[in-house]
Amino acid sequence: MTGETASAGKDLLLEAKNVSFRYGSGPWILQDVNLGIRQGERVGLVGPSGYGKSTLSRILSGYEKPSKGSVLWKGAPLPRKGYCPVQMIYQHPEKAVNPRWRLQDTLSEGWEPDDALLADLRINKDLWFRRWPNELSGGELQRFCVARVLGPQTEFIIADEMSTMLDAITQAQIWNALLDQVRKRGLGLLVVTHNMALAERVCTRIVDLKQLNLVGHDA
Amino acid sequence: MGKPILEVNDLSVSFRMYDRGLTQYDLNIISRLNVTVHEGEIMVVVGASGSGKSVLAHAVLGILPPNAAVGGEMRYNGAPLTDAVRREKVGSEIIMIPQSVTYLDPVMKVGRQVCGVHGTKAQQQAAFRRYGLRESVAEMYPFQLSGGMTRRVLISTAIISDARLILADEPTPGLSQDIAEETMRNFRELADEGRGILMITHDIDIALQVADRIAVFYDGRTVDVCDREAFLAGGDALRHPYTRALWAALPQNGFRAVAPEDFMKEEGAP
Repeated sequence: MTGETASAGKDLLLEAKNVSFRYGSGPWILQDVNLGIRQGERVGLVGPSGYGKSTLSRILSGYEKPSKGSVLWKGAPLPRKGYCPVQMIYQHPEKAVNPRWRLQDTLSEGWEPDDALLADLRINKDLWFRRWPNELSGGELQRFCVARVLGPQTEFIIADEMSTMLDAITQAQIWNALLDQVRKRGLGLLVVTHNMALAERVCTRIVDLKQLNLVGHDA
Repeated sequence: MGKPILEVNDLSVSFRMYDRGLTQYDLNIISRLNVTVHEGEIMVVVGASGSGKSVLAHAVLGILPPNAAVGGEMRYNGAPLTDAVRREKVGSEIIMIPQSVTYLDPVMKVGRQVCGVHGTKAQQQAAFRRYGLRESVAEMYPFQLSGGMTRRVLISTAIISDARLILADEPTPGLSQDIAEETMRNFRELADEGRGILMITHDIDIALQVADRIAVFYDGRTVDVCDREAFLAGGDALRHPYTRALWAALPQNGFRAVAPEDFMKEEGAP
């Protein structure tokens, strides 16, 4: 799987090229990771905890700079200014929203979602818009986190364990709404999960970071 | 299955809240909750977030905030679970395994934390041996442990002393498949040695590997209790519409999301 970038075609959307990462001069977390995601692919990223799945996600979405190697978006370096075409959804929505903003403001920071999308995600506009984040449950908050990243300039979504903390029905609701958008708009998708049944359900391809990452972790 | 170790009958919990100024109102969190855990049994509690799962554990331990009003009956080992019983049993016979790493004291070495108030150094060492933790781990602080090690440290607290009832709140999120499965096997062993386990979780797949029975909570009440076999079979083997909806929403069973209004309509109850 590591050799797949050699045959890189023009249809590669997002690509990690020989990406290595460590904090300061600490131990290497990622070493020489190569991963390419093509248009129309939905890739599941699995692997034991501590192997750098979340770190790789943050690098691929531009929140972290790789210590070595590069991240390419459609063959060019990932834009570091303006609206990033790669957007992230996190595991803990309560840590991903500003606690001092009403949800209405959090939702419209990047764009103004239309009513159809809000209905798909079952966001209760009248009841929830004026509330503060601590007045909603995790599942309710996560709906906002999904809606806010689906702006018209978004072309790729990275979902890092986004439904781990949710009950099965809420999980299915949010995923179905997101997959609907992904299909309709041809978005790229990278799904980080521990749940193999979920990965098999939503992804077209599953990769194991254990095989991609050359760091010999010893848990 | 042994005799009942924990019986919760018609438990209700409400919180007294302040509205504007001094106006107060009662917020009902749990209305009619019933659950029984037998010796040697793993009872898994599932349900939507906000359905009162964690509040149940806190009610059993008597650690609800002061503005909470509790109704109904709780019995431990056949006798009413009173504050006097709690003072004697919680921490020795009744153990809570908390949800996450953040429950460990960040500035205390984990060996001492595992000993707690009632345990001894020897018991701690035996527990660490059992779960494959090196002796040097006892001298470490929580930030030095990986997720899987932390999980094993937390579970060590449960076998220190003679725990007979273990309450586990979301023991698996963030763990990789193999560590989660190992954690479940550990719980199964603890149950097979005669302990009763109440496991609160969203991770139905993992929990089903070791569960005996599943209690399904919805909106602060127990809507269904079913055997593991029934839940694995799914479909018509499940009585309550919410249980069926939960089953059908699992990625391997159709990934269908039924709106709460729809299954409550089907139920026909108020």
